Amino acid sequence: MKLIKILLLSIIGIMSANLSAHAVIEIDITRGNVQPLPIAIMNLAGSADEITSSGSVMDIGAQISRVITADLERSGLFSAIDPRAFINSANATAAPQFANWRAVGAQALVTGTAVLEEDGRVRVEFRLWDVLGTTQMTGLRYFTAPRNWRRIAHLISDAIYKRLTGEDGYFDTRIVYISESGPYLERIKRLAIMDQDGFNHKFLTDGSYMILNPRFSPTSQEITYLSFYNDTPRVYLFNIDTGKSEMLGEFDGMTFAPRFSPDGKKVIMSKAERGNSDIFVMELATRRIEQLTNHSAIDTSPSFSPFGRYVAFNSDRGGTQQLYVMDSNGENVNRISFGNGRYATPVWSPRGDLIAFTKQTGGKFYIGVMRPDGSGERILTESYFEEGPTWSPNGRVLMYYRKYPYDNRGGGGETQLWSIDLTGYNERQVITPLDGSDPAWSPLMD
Amino acid sequence: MKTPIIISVIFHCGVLTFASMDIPWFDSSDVRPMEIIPIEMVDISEVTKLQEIAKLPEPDQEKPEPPKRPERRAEMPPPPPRMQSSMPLPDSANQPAAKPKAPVKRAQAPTISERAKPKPPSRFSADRVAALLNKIPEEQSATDRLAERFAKQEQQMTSLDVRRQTMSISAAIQKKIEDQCWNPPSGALDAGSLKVKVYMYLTLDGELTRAQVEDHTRMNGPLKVAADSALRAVRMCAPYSDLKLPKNMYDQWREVIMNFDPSGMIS
Repeated sequence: MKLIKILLLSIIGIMSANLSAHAVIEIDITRGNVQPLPIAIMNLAGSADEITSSGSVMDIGAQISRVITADLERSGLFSAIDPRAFINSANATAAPQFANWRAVGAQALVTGTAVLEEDGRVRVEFRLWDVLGTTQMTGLRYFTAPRNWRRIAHLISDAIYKRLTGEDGYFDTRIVYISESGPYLERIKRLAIMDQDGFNHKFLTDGSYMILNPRFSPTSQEITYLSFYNDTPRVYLFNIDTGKSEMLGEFDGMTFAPRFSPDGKKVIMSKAERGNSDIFVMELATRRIEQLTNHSAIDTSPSFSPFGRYVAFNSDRGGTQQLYVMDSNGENVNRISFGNGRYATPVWSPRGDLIAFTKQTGGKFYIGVMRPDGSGERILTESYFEEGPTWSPNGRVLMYYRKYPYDNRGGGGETQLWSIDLTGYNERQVITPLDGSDPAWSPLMD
Repeated sequence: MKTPIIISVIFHCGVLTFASMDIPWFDSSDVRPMEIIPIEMVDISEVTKLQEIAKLPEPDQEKPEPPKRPERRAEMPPPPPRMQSSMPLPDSANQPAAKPKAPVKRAQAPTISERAKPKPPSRFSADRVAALLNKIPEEQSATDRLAERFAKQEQQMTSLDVRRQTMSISAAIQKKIEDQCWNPPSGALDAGSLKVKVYMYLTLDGELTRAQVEDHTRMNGPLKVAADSALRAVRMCAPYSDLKLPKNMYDQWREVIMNFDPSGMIS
C-alpha cells in the first residue's frame, strides 16, 4: 500500500510540475552592427618623482597608454574614447566606478600603474575590465628596463586584443622593408627595419648595392632577400641580431623571390636560367636543393601553406599569368585563379584560410584574397600600382606597397607602405622616413 | 488484487500526462476546418507597440496598484567586481563603497513605505507595531496577487492571442538587441560559426536580473569572446522597460532564451 502511495505521489508531482512550468520565449539574434568596440584607456598611474633614464615614471605610464591607444585604434576593431570625456580619473588601484564608465559609452576599460623598482627596472601592471559585466577580464604585470617601455605597450596591446577578439595580436612585431630614395634612374634601395607602428626605425644595409624581396623567417630573427651584391642577383640570408649575411648557394642562373617554409628550415625560391624560371626549395641545414617545377612556362613567387604541405605560386603555363597550388613535393598542380587579368605574388595566410594576391587588369593593380581552392575571391584595394602583400602574424591584416605615377614635371613616383584589414575598410598608410616598398611582416617577437 | 489497481493507476496517469502534453493525434481539432487568418502588412514599429496590442481591461479599483518602478540602474552603486584574474586586486579594490540592493527589494521598498505611512505615534503602542509588522506580508503578497491576476487574464486569452503577443514580444526584444546592442565579434577565424545561447531573466518591470551563457565556464578562445559579446549586448540593452512588455504575459517573458548566430553576417 505504501508503494502505491509513493507511486501515485510521484506521478502527480511530475504532472503538476509539467503543467505549472512557465513557457519560455526563445529568440534568434542573427543581425548586429559590426562596430569598433568602445574602449577607455586610462593613463597608467605613475609618480612624477620617480625619475628614470627614459623620463619620469608618470611620463612612461602616459606614453604607454598612448601607444596602446594607437595600436588598438589602428586595428580598426576598437574605438578609444577621448580621455576628456572621462567622468573620473579612477584610482588605478581601486575597482572602477563602472556606472561612470558606462555613462561615457565605454564597454571595456584599461587601468594600470607604473612603478620604479629598487633595481632600476620599471614594474608595469594593467587590468582590462568588462564595464557592462563589471568584472576584470585580464590583468598582467611586466618588469623591464625603462627604455623598453614601448615594447611593453605593444605587449599590453596584444594581451588586450587577444582577450577581446579571441585572436593573437600583432603589435609586438617588426616590419622589414626596402627603403628607397633618389631619382628614378639612380634609386638607392636599402634594407630597413622598424616596429609595426613605424617607430625604432633602423637601416640594415648602406645602399651601395640593391636589395629586393626581403622576407622574415617565421621562427627566428633572420631575413632572406635578393641582393645585387657585385652585380650578381643572389638570395642571401641575414641575421638581424649579428648583422651577418650569407649567400644561399651558387647557381648558374639568377635566384629570386625567396620565402621561408613555416618551420624556418627551408627557403623556397625561383631560379631563372636561359629565359625559363622554375621553383626550387633549399634545406638550410644541409643546403640540399630540390626542384619542384620543371615547366617551359615561367613559374615564380612560391609561398608555403602554414603547415608546409602545399605551395602556391604563379605561372603563365595556362597562357596568362595565374595562381596555382601544388603539393610541397611539386606534384598535383592545380590552377586556382580564373578571373580576368593577371594574378601574381600569392601569399598564404598564417591562418591558412586565405591566399593574398596581386591582380593586374584594366590598367590598374589590385590586392585581394581568395580561399586556397580559388573560391571567394575578394578585392580589398586598388590603385595605379600596388604589389607585395605580406600578412600580419594573426592573418587579419595585409601590408603592401603602393607606387604613384610620375607626372610631366618629373615629380611623383613615390612609393609608400600601406596596410588594410580583411574587411577592406581599414586602410592606413604606414609612415616611413623615406619611400618604402616590399614590406615583410615578422612573427610575434619572443 | 493490488496489481490490477497499480496497473490501472499507472495507465490512467499515463493517459492524463499525454493529454496534458497536447499530443496532436489526441486532439480532435485537427479535423476542423482551418481558421482563415487575415494577414495585414504593417510596419515593424506598429507590431512592436505592445502596450496597445496588449491592452487589457482596467484593473478594479479595490485591487492594489502595481508596484512603482525601481530606480534606474545607472543610479545604483556599482556591484563589487568579481576577481577572475591571476593578478588579484589590492585589498582596497575588494571593498566597494556601497553594497548593491537586490532588484526585487528595490521594487518593493517604496511601495511599503508609501502605503504604510504610519502617523508618528504619540507613545509606544505594541498593537500598532504588531499591525505595522502584519502589513509587510500583505504588501509582499500584493505583487504576487498582481502576477496571479495577470496569469488569470492570460489564461482567458485565446491561444491565437497568446501566440500573437508572444511573437510581438519576441520581435520587440529581437529588434532592440539587433538594432542597438549586438556587436558581433568579427576578428576571429570562422567567426560566423560562433553561436552562443544566452539566458536572460527579467523582472516584471523589465529590469535585467541575470544573464548567463550556456556552458560559459567551459568556453575559451574565440567562443568565449563570442559569449562575451552576446552578454554585452544583453546587458547594454537593459533595462527592457521601454519595450512595455505586457505584464499579463510576464510568465512568458520573465525568462528569455536568445540564440546569437552571426553566420548570416560574417562569412
